Amino acid sequence: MFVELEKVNKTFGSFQALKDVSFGIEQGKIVGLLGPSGSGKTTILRSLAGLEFPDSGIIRIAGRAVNDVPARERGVGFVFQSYALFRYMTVFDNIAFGLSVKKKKNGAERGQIPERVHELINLVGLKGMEKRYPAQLSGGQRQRVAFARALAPQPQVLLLDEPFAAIDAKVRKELRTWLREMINRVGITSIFVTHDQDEAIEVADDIVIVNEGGIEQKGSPAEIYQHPATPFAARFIGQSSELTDYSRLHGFLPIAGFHQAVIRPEFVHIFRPDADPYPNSTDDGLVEQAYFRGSVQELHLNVCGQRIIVNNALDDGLLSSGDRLRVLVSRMFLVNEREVRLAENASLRDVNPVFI
Amino acid sequence: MREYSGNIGKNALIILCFLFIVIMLLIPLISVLAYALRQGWAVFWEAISDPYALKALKLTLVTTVWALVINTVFGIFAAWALTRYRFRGQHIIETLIDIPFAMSPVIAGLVFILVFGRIGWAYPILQQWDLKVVFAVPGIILATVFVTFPFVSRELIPLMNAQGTDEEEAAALMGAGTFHIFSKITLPHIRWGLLYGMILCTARALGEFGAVSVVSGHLRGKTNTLPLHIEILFSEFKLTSAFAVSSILVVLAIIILILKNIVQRKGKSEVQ
Ligand SMILES: Nc1ncnc2c1ncn2[C@@H]1O[C@H](COP(=O)(O)OP(=O)(O)OP(=O)(O)O)[C@@H](O)[C@H]1O
Ligand SMILES: [Mg+2]
Repeated sequence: MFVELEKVNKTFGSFQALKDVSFGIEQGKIVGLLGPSGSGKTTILRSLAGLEFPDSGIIRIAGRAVNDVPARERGVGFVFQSYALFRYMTVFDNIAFGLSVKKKKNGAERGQIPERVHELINLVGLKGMEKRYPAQLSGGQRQRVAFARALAPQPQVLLLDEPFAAIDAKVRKELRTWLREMINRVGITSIFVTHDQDEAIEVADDIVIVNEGGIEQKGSPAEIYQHPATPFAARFIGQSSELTDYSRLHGFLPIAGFHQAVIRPEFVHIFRPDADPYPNSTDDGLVEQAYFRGSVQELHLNVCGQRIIVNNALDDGLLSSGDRLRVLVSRMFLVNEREVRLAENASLRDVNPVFI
Repeated sequence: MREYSGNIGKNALIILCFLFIVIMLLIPLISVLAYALRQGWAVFWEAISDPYALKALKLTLVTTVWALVINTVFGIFAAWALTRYRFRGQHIIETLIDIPFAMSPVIAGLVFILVFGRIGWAYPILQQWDLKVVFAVPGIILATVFVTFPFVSRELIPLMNAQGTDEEEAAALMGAGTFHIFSKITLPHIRWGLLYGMILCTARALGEFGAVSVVSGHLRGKTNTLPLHIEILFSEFKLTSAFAVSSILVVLAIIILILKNIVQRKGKSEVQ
């Protein structure tokens, strides 16, 4: 592991912000820290950078324990949530800052700085903006400057704290793809923080789910999505419905110790009452709310007195509230305080194997 | 405001302010200059080129420079410590900084007598090193430093709080040392506020009377600052001389006001 945290704890006064946080990152990978607001994501990044010091635990970068190494010697690049561009310096000077500090220390030639700065400005696509001040840039442009500035001193690790939070939705999507390409091109080990799961799934090689100062699960986006390890992970990922009375649905028996179920929209299939291919496995559903989402329609269904969210592909036409449907739930995650278990619809398996 | 009080109210208020300033501030200043020049330029010139007056002016300037340097350095350190670190007693220190604003300068002078004077606990130590504080120049400088020390830090603390630590942290992560960070990141942000605080500090140091009066001992030509010298002239009924020397302070005050205005305007235009 190139970057590693081992049982890191951090308290602010009496508040424990990090609880036994342990995870590692392989060299050259991009990891996304995903979690709700206040879960400790920023605190993890700041501890890695040396801006906060853990109360206990070990932080390793490139095999070296860095707990006692000050921020300025850790070789970590940081893109702040607010970008923190130097407001009294031009774009050029912002990006050159880290290089000139380094050159001063090594006593090497300063002549190379402009060359490297221009290289970076070209890399992030800001040619012609060298002389502007941060206040004269758009949000997306500032983000690029922050990125170039962090990369300039060639850090071993790049940390990004909600790099797209201050940018509007459309530019955000473009920048995501852009960032992923940039990081891959430079090949730098990176950790970025987000509370947007689409962003994490799209950009990260691995996702770490953070909740209340602890790590819930670490894995590839597919693993996280398909095999949530903890109840929190099951609920947090995807747009889930939660049921307490899951055994009232066709094909699910109550299981001792599990009193709740989480159902993802893709586990639910809907049919018109007159065209139900699985009459023995479906329940009656009533459309309570219908929201148009562009490519799909999001339906809130009332099934056996409980709410289930499903996405309606539009090829069969729009549905509206009051419409009656037949609803098939193919699987669900059963959760209690500690565990998650996948439950399949038993009636599908037993009664009508031909259709599966 | 216009919605609440019509044009009449507005104009009345403006005239009132104007009158107040003219009566309370402008007329007295002009009177000082007029009185000083009442007996003509020759007398005026004689009064301000009097060796004691010149020595007092010199001492005032020396004291002001000391106070300015010490308080600028202290003010920057204090503002840095209070805005960039968290520690026990932070609020207490922040409150203590304001003591000179809250306390009468005479008491400040008396405190120095109590500590460094013949009755003070530090007196024997000073004797050992053959140092004189009270009734000597060091005492005057100390008293002036005491009275003026909140000006710089009070200007800087809100500015540095508003600036936040993001940019400094970013610079530190790129390998910059503390001094480099201060001069390249922090200073550009606070420079006009710093200058403004320094100007206020200078103005106050030039005119300080109460605290200095207690510790100086009024030794003519030795421990008399300009305000003390004026007071002596006045109590000896040398009114023309007193006002002539006063006019030096008035002119200095006007120069400082102009500087203050320039700095304030620059600072404001930079914010926008
Ligand atoms: N300097 C501090 N002093 C006291 N408490 C702090 C400090 N920094 C963070 N905290 C607390 O620690 C917890 C975790 O904060 P952190 O900033 O790491 O959350 P986050 O996951 O980044 O949240 P967000 O998504 O809102 O940015 C929060 O409850 C916060 O109030
Ligand atoms: Mg955060």
